[in-house]
Amino acid sequence: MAKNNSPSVASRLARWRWWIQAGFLFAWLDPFMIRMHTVCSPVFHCYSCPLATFACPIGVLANFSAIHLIPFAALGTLIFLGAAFGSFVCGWACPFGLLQDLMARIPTPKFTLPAWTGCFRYVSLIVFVFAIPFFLGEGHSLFFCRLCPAGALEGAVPSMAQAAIAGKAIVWPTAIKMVILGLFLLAVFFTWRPWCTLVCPLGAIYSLFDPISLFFLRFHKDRCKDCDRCRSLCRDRVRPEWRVDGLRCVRCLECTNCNAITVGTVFAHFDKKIDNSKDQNAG
Amino acid sequence: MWTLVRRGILPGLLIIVGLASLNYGSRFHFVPVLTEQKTEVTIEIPDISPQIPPPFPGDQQFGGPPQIRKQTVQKTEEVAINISEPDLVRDVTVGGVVLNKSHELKRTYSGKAPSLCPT
Repeated sequence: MAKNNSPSVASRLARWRWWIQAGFLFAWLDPFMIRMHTVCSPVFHCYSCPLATFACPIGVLANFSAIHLIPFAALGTLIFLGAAFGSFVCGWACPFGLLQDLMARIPTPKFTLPAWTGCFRYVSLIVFVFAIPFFLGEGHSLFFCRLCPAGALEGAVPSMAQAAIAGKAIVWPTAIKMVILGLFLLAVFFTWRPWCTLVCPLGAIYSLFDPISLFFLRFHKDRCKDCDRCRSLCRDRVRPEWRVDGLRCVRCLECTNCNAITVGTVFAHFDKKIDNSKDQNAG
Repeated sequence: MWTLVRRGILPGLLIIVGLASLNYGSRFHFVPVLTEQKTEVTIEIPDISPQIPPPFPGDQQFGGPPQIRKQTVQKTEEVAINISEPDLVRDVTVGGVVLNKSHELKRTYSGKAPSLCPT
C-alpha cells in the first residue's frame, strides 16, 4: 500500500484550534449583552461572569440536585453533544480550557500528572455536584459552586472589581474558594490543563461518551512505526494507542500530525475496508 | 458489526434521547413553586366606640345596631405557581428557589429577583 505522507484533514484542522476556540468565545462571552441565562450552555463557564451568555451546566446540575429535580434540558444538551462529539467540546469549545491553554504557553517547566489522577474528576462529579447538594443542600460550604475556580475567576473577581469601581461594598468569596483559585492559578503554569485533567466534572461527563461518540480518534496499527512521535505530540504525554479516546483525552488532535491517528466516524471504518480491497485487487 | 453498534447506532439513539430531553425540558416541564403573594382583603369591623348620651331626656337614646366600618388590609399568602424549567434554571442559580422542610419548592424573594449568585 502506497504511503500517504500528506497531512490529514484532522492535523490540518488542529492548526486552527486556537481560532475555533476564540470563535466559540464570542458565543459564551457575548459583548452585545444578550443574556440567555435560562438556557444551559455545554461548556464550563460561570453564569456569574458579567459577560456570560448562558448558564453553566454544572451549576444547573448541582442546583437542581439541591432541589431534588431533574434538569431535563441541561441533561439533554450534555447527552446530545456528548454522544455526537464527546470530549471535542473540551478541546475545541470550552473557554476555561482555552484559558488554561493560553496560560500553558508561558515557558515554564511542565510536569505530567499520572493517568490515575483523572479519576478525581468522577469523585468531583459524584460527590460535589450530586451527593452533597442532594443530601446537604445548596447552602453547604462544599457545594460545588462555592468551590469552583471558574466562578471565582469569571464571576467573583469581575464583580469585586465592578463594586470597587462603583464605590460599593465588596462582597468577598469564601476563603476556600480563593485558596482553590490560587492553587489552580499556580498549577496552570506547571502542567497542561490541570483543571480538565484533575477535577473538571463536565469533562468527566463528556469523557464517558468518548468510547461511544459518533466522532472519535482512530489508531491505525498498520501505519504505526513505533517511533513514539504521537506521545511527544500529546501534551498529556500518553501513548495514543493505549489512551486514544482515553478518559483524559480532550481531543485536541495534536497527535493526528502522525498519520497513524485520524479522526473518524463509523462510516470511515467501511472506507478503510474499501481501500484495503482496492489494494488487494491492484496487487 | 460491534463497531457499527458502538459508533453508529448507540450514539444515534443517545442523540435522539438527548434532543427529546432537551425539547421536553425547554417546553413541557413545569414545576410548582410556592410564591408569596400580597392580596388586599376588605374586612368589616363593627364600630364599638362609646355612644355619646343624648343631651336631653326623652330623646332617642340608642339609635340601633352599631355602625359597621370597612377596612382594607394586605394579606400575604403562599400560592403555588407553575414555573417552566428554563425560568427555574435562572431562578435557582441566583438562589431564588429553595426546598423547604415539606420538600416543596419555595421562592426566596418577592418582587425583583436577586442579581448575584449566592456562592
